[in-house]
Amino acid sequence: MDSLKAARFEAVRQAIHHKWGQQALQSVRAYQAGTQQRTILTGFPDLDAALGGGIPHQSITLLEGNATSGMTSLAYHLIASAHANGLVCVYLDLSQTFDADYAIRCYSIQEDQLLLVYADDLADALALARDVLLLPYRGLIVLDAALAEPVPLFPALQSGFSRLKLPLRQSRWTLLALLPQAAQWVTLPAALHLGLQRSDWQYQNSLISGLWSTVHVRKNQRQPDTQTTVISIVFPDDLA
Amino acid sequence: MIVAAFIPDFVIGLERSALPKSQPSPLLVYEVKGRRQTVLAACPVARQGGVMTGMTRTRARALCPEALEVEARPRYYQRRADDLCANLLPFSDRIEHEVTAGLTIWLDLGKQPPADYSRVAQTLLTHCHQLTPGPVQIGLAVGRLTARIAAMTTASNTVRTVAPGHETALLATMPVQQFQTGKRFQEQCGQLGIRTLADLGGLPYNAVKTRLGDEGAQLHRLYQGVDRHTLQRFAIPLREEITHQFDIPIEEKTIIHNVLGRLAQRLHTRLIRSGLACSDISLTMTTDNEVVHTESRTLRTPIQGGKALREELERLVSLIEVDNGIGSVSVLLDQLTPPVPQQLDFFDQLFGDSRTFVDAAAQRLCARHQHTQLLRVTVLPEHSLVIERNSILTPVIAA
Repeated sequence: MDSLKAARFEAVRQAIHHKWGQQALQSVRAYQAGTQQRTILTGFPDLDAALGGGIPHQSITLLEGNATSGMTSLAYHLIASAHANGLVCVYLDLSQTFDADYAIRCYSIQEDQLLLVYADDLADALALARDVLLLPYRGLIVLDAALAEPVPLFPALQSGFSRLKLPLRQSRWTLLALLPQAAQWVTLPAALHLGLQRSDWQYQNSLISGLWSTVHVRKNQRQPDTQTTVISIVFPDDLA
Repeated sequence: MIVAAFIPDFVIGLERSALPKSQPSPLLVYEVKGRRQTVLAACPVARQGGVMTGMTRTRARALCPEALEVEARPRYYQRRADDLCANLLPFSDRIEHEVTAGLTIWLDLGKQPPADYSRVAQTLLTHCHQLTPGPVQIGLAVGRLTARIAAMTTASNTVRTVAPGHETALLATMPVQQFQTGKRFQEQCGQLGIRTLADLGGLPYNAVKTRLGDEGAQLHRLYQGVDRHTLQRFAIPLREEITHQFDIPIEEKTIIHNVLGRLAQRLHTRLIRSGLACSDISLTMTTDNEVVHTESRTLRTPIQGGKALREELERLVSLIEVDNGIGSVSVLLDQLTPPVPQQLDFFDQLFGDSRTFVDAAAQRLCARHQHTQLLRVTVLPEHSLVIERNSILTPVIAA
């Protein structure tokens, strides 16, 4: 390229950057590097380190645990982290237990970036998730089936996740599924599978102020070694 | 309770209604599977001559040489079945259907007093008669398969009810081989001397499951009246249709191309309004002597633009060879879905107003998910100890 062409190209590049921002024009290599290494941070440094930087983008992550295991709190942390990084969120609530007040007031979840969906059954929720993948946004889909019965849930999840896996990889969305504790989830086609269990309550002035939760990494496609991490979930002051 | 409506001559009825009234009977519909051409449906006259579903076309022609042969149009049958189901939505929102030579429609009536089931079944029978010309058979049972069997075994235009717990009386004599099971299962049944469902149901459940696997266990449960299949919620398929009727039959191709261009533009406006794109496009041209010519095309990428629609229609019209003048032209856009995100959408998101996410998502999702509640969350500034007073969930609707 002669110097005149190079100067013209540089002028056009600077004009585009000035008008549309730095992200509007970038080299293919830089764009691919940016998209391939994207993760959503959990907000717990130890857990992020164990997972290799958070939960992977464009894939399925399972969170498994019983009530008071810290699973929902971790999910709210992930939504807040997604919002902080400019991602939107679609919350598919099968059990209709999403606590909007708690999530938004205590975890800085942005209400204008959140679409709450009350789905009657899993088939409806998965059909909607497939259409959400076509929306032109980067975002996080949370499928909350934490109170569902594991036995009837399993075959539907198995087929539904198998159908979602490829479109998810080709989209700019991430799927996070909250499931009750059961042994069979290991066979589901997920990139990351975390099991949460409450170890102990935390007290402050003889009142419960949080909990210790043990996170078992049951499956991680990026780091095959299974690990266990203990995270401290402190309830925000507003909860009291 | 589940009610099954069985319309045995559904395909033949549709094809007969598409033919000019002067065409002679009998009629048979064949489908092309690779290099094989087999009979999908035959009219009663052809059936009396020995023609059966699944028979090769050559054999059927030898048995009934005077029959008029028509190629099957599966998409058309599916569309008409969808229309029929949409008309049955007042009875239940959980509806499934299956089209073969006949049409079976299942409706989940939920839990009602027993007297109401029969009343609904009778109403359904009358309703089906208004919607379709052929005979209709109705079956009522707790399970999906039992309801279908009851419908298929009852006389035309009657209702057969299988009371809960009385499934064995209906199913006992049914041969095991009639069910869609694996070859190995059929062989094992033959070796063990199991011929009917009564033979199988008489054995202990655990023994059946151990020896015959899941298929055996499933048939055993069916015989005992346990059918866990739940019907899916029926969503009305989205489609757009437009027809232009000519005052006098037209033979000039330029006029037809101009009309198609105008129709494409009007369809484009409708698609933009609904925020959808089509993956399936059909063109139907009816000649002045009542002959219907249809060509359809499934697109790799959904389209929405007027120019793209016009190009597709011109491609379809070039495939149709017509000798007479054209009386009417009809365009059908099927398989409507939200369009594939374009590069412009990407820029809109990066640099546009991101607060419109909930509205934009509702615009795309509401049309296809009418039974699902999409909600906007608003937290009130004043914090109250009563949790319900702290936030508002507002249903979002497409603008």
